[in-house]
Amino acid sequence: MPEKSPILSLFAARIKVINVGIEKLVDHFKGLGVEFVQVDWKPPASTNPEILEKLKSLTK
Amino acid sequence: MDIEKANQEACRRIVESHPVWKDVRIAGEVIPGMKKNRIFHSGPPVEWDQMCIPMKASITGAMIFEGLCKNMKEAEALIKKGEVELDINTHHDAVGPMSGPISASMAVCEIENIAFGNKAYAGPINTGRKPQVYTGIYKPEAIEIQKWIRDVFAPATSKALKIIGGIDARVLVGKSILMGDELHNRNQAATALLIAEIMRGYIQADLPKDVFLEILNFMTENLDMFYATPHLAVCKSMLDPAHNIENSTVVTTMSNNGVEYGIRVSGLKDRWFTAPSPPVKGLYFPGFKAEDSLADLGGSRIKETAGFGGMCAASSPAICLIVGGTPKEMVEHTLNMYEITVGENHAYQIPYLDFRGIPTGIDIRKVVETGFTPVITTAINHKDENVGYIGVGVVISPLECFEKAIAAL
Repeated sequence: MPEKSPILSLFAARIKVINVGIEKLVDHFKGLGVEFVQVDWKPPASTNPEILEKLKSLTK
Repeated sequence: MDIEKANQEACRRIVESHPVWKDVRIAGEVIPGMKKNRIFHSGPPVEWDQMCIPMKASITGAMIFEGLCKNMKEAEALIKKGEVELDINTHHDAVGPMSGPISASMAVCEIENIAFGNKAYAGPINTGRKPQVYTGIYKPEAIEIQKWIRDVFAPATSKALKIIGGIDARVLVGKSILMGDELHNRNQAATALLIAEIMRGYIQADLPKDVFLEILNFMTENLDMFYATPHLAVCKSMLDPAHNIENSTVVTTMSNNGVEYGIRVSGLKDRWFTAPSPPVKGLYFPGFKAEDSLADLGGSRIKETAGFGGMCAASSPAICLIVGGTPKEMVEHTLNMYEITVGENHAYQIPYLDFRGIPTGIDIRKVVETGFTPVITTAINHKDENVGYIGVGVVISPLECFEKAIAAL
């Protein structure tokens, strides 16, 4: 008999979710009694590193 | 002053503005720098050779109106010889719809911001279903209606406005937002309220009966858009006091010449930051399709700069009937706009959002940080001359001009 993968224990335990970004992804868990924490985050809109650096210096 | 305080100050000046429609004047008598051989148009600055066809056609129309030329070929020759000069409205206390051509003898709405004492001017006056010179139409009918506005509508309305002591735009606009306007492409409540108020001025002006009826028809036939023109100057008058505040990152102008979309930022003086003009997504009139359309065009983005139009789309569920989308999407647009603005203007409250004030003071830092760019409700112009409007829709402002402004800070 092959040994049980430790990852399978995840499915037997109570699931707790940390969702980073798109809130829609936690919709599945809502109403199922799954504990989740939503972290508001999204990638910066600009892809220009110089602009992002400048923005950092202009924001508190 | 640091950036946060500078932006609060810019926002305060917009919010405390108190615009009043005082008069209808002739542009050459009131607009700074206007001359018989000068035509002002919607910015950002653009050379004749780079202009889109409707912009050239609108300028041609204004020149025909002034008796300077008979067609676009003659207009081009005069401009290239330097005998007719071009400049943009923004630099002259003025603003116009679409291409926004303003010439010396054209009638313009005069708005005074009585809280700060500055004035702003808007023209040409909206002609509704009649041919519109500002959409690139220079056919005789478009010129004739402007002459009627100058010779009949303007003197009568000037008299009426003086009799009633002007129209308090802060009150009128506040009520019309509560009644479902967003004040860019839906102005039905504003126009109706305006007619109700100005009527006693026209009646006391002792106008000949036929003139009175012509004016009444002109406004009532164009309930959707008649108020659109004075509101341009209302917004410009609200934003000019917020311009030139050191370190402020608040946007004080958005305008589009049909080729480039441009913004000006309070703390960056009179520099323009531009990006290619984006396409408009919307609904087309029967017989027209997206391939016929010009990219976004218009000086009327001044309305979103002040918090109206697409910025407060949540106030106007019915706007979807002409721009497309759903009321829910309009609410989402406005909620996103709160993410990129400094404050709210409670003179203008949105019922559906528990009477929140309209989003006010677009901060370029927040735009680039969130990626939400100002949402504009706009007319769609045909790409050729002498056709005009072919639909109405929504434009998402390009991020690039906000990034360029950030780089310049």
